[in-house]
Amino acid sequence: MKLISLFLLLSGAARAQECGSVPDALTDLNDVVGAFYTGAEGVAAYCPDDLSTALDLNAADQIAAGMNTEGRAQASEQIANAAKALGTGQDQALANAAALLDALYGAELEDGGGAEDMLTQIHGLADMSSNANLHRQIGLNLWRRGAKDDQSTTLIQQILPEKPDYSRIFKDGRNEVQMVLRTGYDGFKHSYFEKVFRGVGAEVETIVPGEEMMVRYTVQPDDPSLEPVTWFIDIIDSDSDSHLKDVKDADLPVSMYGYHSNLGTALDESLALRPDGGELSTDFFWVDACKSKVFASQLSKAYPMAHFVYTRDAEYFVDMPVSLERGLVALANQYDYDQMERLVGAGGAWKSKNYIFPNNSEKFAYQDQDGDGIADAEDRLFNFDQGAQDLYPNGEKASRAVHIANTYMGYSAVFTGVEDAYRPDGIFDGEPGGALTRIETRKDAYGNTKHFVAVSDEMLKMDQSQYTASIAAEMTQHWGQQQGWSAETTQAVAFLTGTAVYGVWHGAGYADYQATYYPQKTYRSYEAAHYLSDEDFVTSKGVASFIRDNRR
Amino acid sequence: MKRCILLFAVFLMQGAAHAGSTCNSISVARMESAQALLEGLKDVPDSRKAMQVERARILLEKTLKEDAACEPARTLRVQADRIFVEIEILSSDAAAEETLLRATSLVQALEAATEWDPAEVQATRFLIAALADRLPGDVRVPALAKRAANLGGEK
Repeated sequence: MKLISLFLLLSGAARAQECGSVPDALTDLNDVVGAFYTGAEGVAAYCPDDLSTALDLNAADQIAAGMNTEGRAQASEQIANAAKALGTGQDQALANAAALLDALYGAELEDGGGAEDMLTQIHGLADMSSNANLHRQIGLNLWRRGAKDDQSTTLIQQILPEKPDYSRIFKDGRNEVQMVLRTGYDGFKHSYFEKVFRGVGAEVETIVPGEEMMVRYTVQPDDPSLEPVTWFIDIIDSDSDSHLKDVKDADLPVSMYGYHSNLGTALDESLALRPDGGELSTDFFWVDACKSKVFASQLSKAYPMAHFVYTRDAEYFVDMPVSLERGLVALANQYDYDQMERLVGAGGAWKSKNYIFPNNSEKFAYQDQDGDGIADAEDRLFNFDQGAQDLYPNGEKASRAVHIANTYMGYSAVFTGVEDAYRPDGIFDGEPGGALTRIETRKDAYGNTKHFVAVSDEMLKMDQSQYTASIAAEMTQHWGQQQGWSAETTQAVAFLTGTAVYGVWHGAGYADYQATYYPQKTYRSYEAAHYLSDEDFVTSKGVASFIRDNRR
Repeated sequence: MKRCILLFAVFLMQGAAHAGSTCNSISVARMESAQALLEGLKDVPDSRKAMQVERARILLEKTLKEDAACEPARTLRVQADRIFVEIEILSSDAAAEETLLRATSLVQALEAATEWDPAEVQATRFLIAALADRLPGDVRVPALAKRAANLGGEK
């Protein structure tokens, strides 16, 4: 370590004048990290105060790739030792150290090495930290690297729980459990709750027609060693500010939101007004709305430990009580999530493959727990600066907007294979009037080729409806180019997609949209406005016929 | 025909739970429970049969996980797997028919109504869209969709 520090002192004299000073507590780690970054060709200069912000991992990967096994082992040991000496209150520095260890670990695996030394250091860092976010980040990194050893598995299972938290659901041996299902008009009208639950012998009582119903459903587990469980299900016509009211309520360990997605905005109000203290909640919460994966970035940030079930695609009211009833049978039988998924989908003519259960790593593509705009699946570094709800620029908003825009495109008959083709890629420091998005095509953490969308911070100054519509338009523009559409068609479809996204938020808000953001794109905009109605986006008949009728 | 296969398979399993002495008492109790689920198939609606067999399979898997030497559980599990393959299609078809029946009733009710609630019409169309996913190629679905499409105007 002294040799490395000496090297840093010799080569870093000029940089010291440009960089800020480093707090005493960070001196050792700074020396090691500084040495790590120094001297590699093409790598940006490292400053001592970089440890208090997120490090440049691209540079770290480049450096780690250029080292040999011995060098990586030595560097990982030095980084881990310096990090462990930090003490409390240095979360970002610890996260940076964990990310550097991941870079070294990844490079060693890439070279075919066992990487046991690096893995040991990563585990050691996890052991010494009590920060839950850092633990989750290390777990994510180990999941991405495919680590299978016992200690890694324990860390990974914290973010991919194998089964519900039965110690919470059946707390103190209780076998009468309350749950709440928050729905609305359509839920009562078209879900056939009464028929489904009466069909399995449950007692159903209407409290207020169309507004509240109570179901008392006793499940006799198949395993004779388990006690019968009685579920008391309160089905409520919920106000928009109350959908998340029950999460973390000690007496309501199981909840379901069973209503419209409203294009990923349905939970906004209830998230803003949610009770404090949800960080440790391990509730089981079924988000039974259309393509509810778009809620994952918000929900995973607000309730990082909760067990959410999301939907991939459209969800129908008629399926909701069937899935709920089967889910309750699975919970009473204390199934793990694989078993629950099997039971819910057994012989189902509905979209039995529509659910992303909490043990499915697919959810990481939609989560953004540090709110930096990069999905957890791709994010190797927890950025503690990005955590605040009202922060500007808010990366989680960018992340969600990309997912909503992609989801929107997925509804449209104009596009084929576009669902999930785009992934969020953080925010960049844009210029007023400059590029709004940067789209790069590469493999994702699952090995699939995706288009990654980084969003300009300038864009996030707009209203949510405006920037989401704009992102949708830019993504459509990109898609059209990828598909070889004519420039004219691409522009028209992009325009219409953006307009339609905006229109959904604002009803007949086309004129406002035109005035605020796309005055320059006037490709037959008058005709477009007449083709589009609020419903047309669902089938895209409006878009399709517009293109057909206006093709030159 | 499928029902005949099912009943024959359940018949074959009679006594399987007690067939061996290699199982511990918990395993025997679990096997009896699994067998009861399979024998009770005749009493549940077709749309729920696959779910019930799945419950038996999961219970037998748990039995074998904790008592790997319990051969009768393994035999029963193999038989339950076979039943599941047969029954899954039956359940799936039955569930789709139930949904089709509901959608048809809704369209009929709307056609007979003196006025339409737009939300009701839209919800009915969504239900028919769900059916298109479940019964691809079934001519009854587009026919029903056409009837629902005619509900759009003033009444």
